Amino acid sequence: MDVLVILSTTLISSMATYAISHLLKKGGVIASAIVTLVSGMILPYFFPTMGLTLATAAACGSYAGMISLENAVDVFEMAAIGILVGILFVAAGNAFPGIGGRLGTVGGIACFSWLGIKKVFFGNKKKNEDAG
Amino acid sequence: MKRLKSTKNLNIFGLLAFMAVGVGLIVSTIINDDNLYKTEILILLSAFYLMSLWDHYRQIPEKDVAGLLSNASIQMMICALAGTTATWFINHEIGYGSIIANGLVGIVAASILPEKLAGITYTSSLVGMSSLSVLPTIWSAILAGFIIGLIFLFTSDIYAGIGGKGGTTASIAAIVTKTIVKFFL
Repeated sequence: MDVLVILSTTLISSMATYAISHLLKKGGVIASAIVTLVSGMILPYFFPTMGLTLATAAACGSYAGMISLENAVDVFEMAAIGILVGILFVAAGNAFPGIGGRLGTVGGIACFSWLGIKKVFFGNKKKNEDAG
Repeated sequence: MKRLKSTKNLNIFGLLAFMAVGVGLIVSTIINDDNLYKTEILILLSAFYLMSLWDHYRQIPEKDVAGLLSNASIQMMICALAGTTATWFINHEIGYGSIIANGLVGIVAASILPEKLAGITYTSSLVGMSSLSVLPTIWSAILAGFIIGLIFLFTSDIYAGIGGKGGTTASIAAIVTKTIVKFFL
C-alpha cells in the first residue's frame, strides 16, 4: 500500500513539474521549486505518519520533471519517468544517506533509464513523429 | 586544438563521474538489500542508465570553457555559494528542513535571476540539503558551494536537459566535500 502511495506521489509530482515547466512555460527551476515547497508544506500536515517520506518522494519526482521537451516529448513519457522514479525511490531511496543531491541522482537515473528504454524499444520513432 | 582536447577530457570526466555516482548508488543499494526482485530491477535499470549515458556522451558538442576569471564564471561561483549556504542555513539553523529550504531557495532564485544562474543556484541548493553528518558547519557548506561552483564552471553543458542531472552533480560535490571534511576533522 505504501509503495502505491509513493508511486502515485512521484507520478503526480513529476507530471505537475513537467506541466508547470512546459505547458505553462514557467521554466524548470520555478516548477520544481513550487512542487517541492508545496509538497514539503502540505504532505507532512495531511499524512502525519509518512508525510515526510511522501514529501521527499515528491521532491525526487519534481527533479525528474525538469527534463527538457526534447527528451520527454509528451506527458505520457513523463508519466513513465514518474513511475520509474517511484520504483527507484522505493528500491534505492535509502542509499547515500545524508548526501545532498541523492534524490536528484535517483531522478537522473530514472530519466537516463527511460531514454535507454525508449531507444531500445521504440528506436527513433518518437523523435521522427515529433519532427514530422 | 589544445582547448578542444581539454573539453573532451572534461566530457570524459563528466561521463565517468556520472557513471560512478549512478552506479555507486545502485550498487550500494544492492549490497545492502537481500531482496532479489529489487536487485533484478536495479540491474536492469542500471544497464539502460549506462547505455543512455554513453549515447548522450557521444552527442555532447565540443564547446569552449569560460575563463576562470570571466564575469560569467564569477557570477556562477557567487550563485553556487549563495545557493548552498542559504539552503544549509534555512535547513539546519532556522530548522525548516531540507525540502522546504530547497523549495524556498529555488523560488527566490527563479524569481530574481536569469534562467541559467537560477538553475545553478537551485542545483547548488541540493548540496545544501545534506545532513549535518556530511556538512557539519556553515564553513563546510561554503566549501561545498565552492566545489559545486568549480564543477559547474567546467561541466555546465554536459548532459543538459536531463531531469536530475543537477542532483547527480550535487551528489558529486557533496561526496567530495564529505571526504575533504572527514580528512581534516
